[in-house]
Amino acid sequence: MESLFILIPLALVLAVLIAVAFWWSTTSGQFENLEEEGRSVIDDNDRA
Amino acid sequence: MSNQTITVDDLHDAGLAAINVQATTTTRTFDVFDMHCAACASLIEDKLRDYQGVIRARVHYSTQRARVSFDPAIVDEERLLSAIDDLGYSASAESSRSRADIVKRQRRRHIWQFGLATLCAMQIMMLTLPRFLAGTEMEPELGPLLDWTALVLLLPVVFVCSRSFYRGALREIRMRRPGMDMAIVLGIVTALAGSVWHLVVGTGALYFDSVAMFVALLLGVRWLAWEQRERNQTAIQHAAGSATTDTVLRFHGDRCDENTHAVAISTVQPGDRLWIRTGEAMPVDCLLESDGAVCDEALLTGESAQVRHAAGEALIAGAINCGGAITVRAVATMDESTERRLLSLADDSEKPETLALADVVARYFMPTLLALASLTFIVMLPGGAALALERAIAVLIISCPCALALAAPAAQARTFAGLLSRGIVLRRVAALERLENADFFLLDKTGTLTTPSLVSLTALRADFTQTQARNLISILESSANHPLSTALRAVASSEPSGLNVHDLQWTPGEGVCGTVNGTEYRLGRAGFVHGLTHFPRTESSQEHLWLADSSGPICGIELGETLRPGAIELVAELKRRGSVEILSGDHEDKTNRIAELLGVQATPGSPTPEKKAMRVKTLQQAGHTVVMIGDGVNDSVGFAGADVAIAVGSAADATRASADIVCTTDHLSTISESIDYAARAQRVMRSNFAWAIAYNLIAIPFAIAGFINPLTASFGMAASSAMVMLNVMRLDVRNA
Repeated sequence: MESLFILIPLALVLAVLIAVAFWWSTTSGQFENLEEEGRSVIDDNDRA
Repeated sequence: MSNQTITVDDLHDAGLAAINVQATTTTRTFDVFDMHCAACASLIEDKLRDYQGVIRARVHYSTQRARVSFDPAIVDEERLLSAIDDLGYSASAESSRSRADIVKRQRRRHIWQFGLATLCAMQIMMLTLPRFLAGTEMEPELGPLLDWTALVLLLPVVFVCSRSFYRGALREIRMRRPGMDMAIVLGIVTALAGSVWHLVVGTGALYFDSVAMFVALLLGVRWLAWEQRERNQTAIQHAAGSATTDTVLRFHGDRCDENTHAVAISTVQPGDRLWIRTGEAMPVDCLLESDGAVCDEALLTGESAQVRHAAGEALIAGAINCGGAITVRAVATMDESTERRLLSLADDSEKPETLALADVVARYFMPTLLALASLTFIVMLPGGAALALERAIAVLIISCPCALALAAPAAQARTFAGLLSRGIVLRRVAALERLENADFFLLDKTGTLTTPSLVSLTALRADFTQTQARNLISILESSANHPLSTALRAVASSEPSGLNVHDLQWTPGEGVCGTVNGTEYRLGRAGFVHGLTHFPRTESSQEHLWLADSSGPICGIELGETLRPGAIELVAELKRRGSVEILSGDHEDKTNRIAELLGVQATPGSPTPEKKAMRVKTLQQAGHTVVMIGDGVNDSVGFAGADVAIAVGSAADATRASADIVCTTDHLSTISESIDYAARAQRVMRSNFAWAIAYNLIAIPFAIAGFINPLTASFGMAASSAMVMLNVMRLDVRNA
């Protein structure tokens, strides 16, 4: 059980890292146009 | 029903402001974001009206827009925008670019807040789990570590993600109207304070997980609601903007023959001087600069006779210039002009109704809720402060009035967008309810059920072929917009005629003359054609027109009327819902023929507009809910008396004052569609209310009795709001 005393603070650090990554992805527009990208995969019209 | 939403006076004011330096009114449209309900709209309205220099302010919840008229010498646009910001909403002067920017930023904020709250909530749940599972077997030192870590993870939820709730609560305090944000903040603060106190003293239950879940779920619901509003907004813009690529002649300087360029209508700015040729429609709202003009405003005002305007008078976008070419000065952009027509709709009676509901929530529900929560706490206090607190928190959290507060506005906004996506403009929300109970339908004939049509050409002169005559008729009517002209235009042969027409001159109610390939022709009633040539006046019915050149009549034109496509289906559909009667001022035998064709009754005796209104009244006294359907011409008296008035016609008809519902497309099928949709919208709204009320009636006693802990309560709260939102989604908005 002693391991939890290291693992829990570690989990906290990890959570912060994830939050930072999430913040970056929202502000850089990764979540915009979610439908369009999915559709473009099966869209045949873009074949050159 | 007498509310005149068409803004000829407004327009005139605005126009004078644009031109006259002395005049002092400017009108601006703002996009307002973050409005949750009609109460928000009225709050902003009040605030704007408080400003000195603001003449008129109108804020629409359904369209998320504000229209403000103000005196630029006293107050400026920035001040007004920041006033809206101060209230906790964001606003931008309308331009699609800044709007798109704000929408983007808001979406990012919603995603970020919801995502962060969810992330933290899941971590906190994980940290609370050991206590549930292990109970007393857990090592005693581990407990505080888990609890304090959970508290650290809760900090971003409380201080970053919940900020919009605090702002909302502050706003509600300022407007002395406790609403859902108050309940949310109270729930958060009580639960948080109680938990921290328990953590410090070392005993008692902790609600960190409940708070985190509560906030995360609320943010999820808010995001959902926001996305939906945004989608409505897009539908509205699409309908209002239906961007035209047409061009208009713009010129600089005094003379219109120099520096004249054809520019896209969408680029016209207030103050631009435009050259409007015969038969052209005003591209935007404008003021007349020429000495005089004759316009056909039938599509705008329902007035079928041409209207004479003097210099300086306002001309509404869509009015057709029937006289010679004129110069005008634009007073609005295309978008503004279109919007003025389409957005007058959210006015009127929608407001009091939704407001009344928000008031009910504020005045009765919130105090009752707070009283119940306090009462629960006091009653449970002898059993221990911890237990009492838990019950009170559960009551606060579970009964968040979100579902109740969202029930009507969400459904109405969706209905509005859904109808608009079908080309139906809902002018008065109250009409939906009456439409559902409608059992008597009065139909206008000409223009609604029938259109004028060409029967045949008679007495064709020997030197013309049938095709030549038809092509001449078609080109002479080429720039007109009457139903009759449309019928006449349709007679042209399919091959290109190679004819050029110029100097088209219309004489109201008589006919048109013009020069085709160098020869002057006239097309119209016998008396009108007589002016060009000497040909024997004949006895002719109203439906008889002539085409002539200087050497005499070329041919006669026999007119009749045909049923519009969809008329038979419409009548059949209406007959299933109630009685149908044709109410037409036309010749009795003609009306009867059409009535017979459709298998319905006709009101006898060619009723005048007054008699039409009497007929409506008689039916209402007999207990019927009367729907009147017409094209607006000669119907306004009857319209005003009917329970529901539906106008059919083109997009410009949205200005018609007395109609409750305006079908802006020519398809008659939209009428039965709108009746269907109205019934569905009513069902959705009612089920929303039933759900919200039933939920609260069941959940609150359960929470008081202690069957529901705060964590479950937050799920219940979110589910109840999500149900309302999902329920509303059943009303489809068509993708254009």
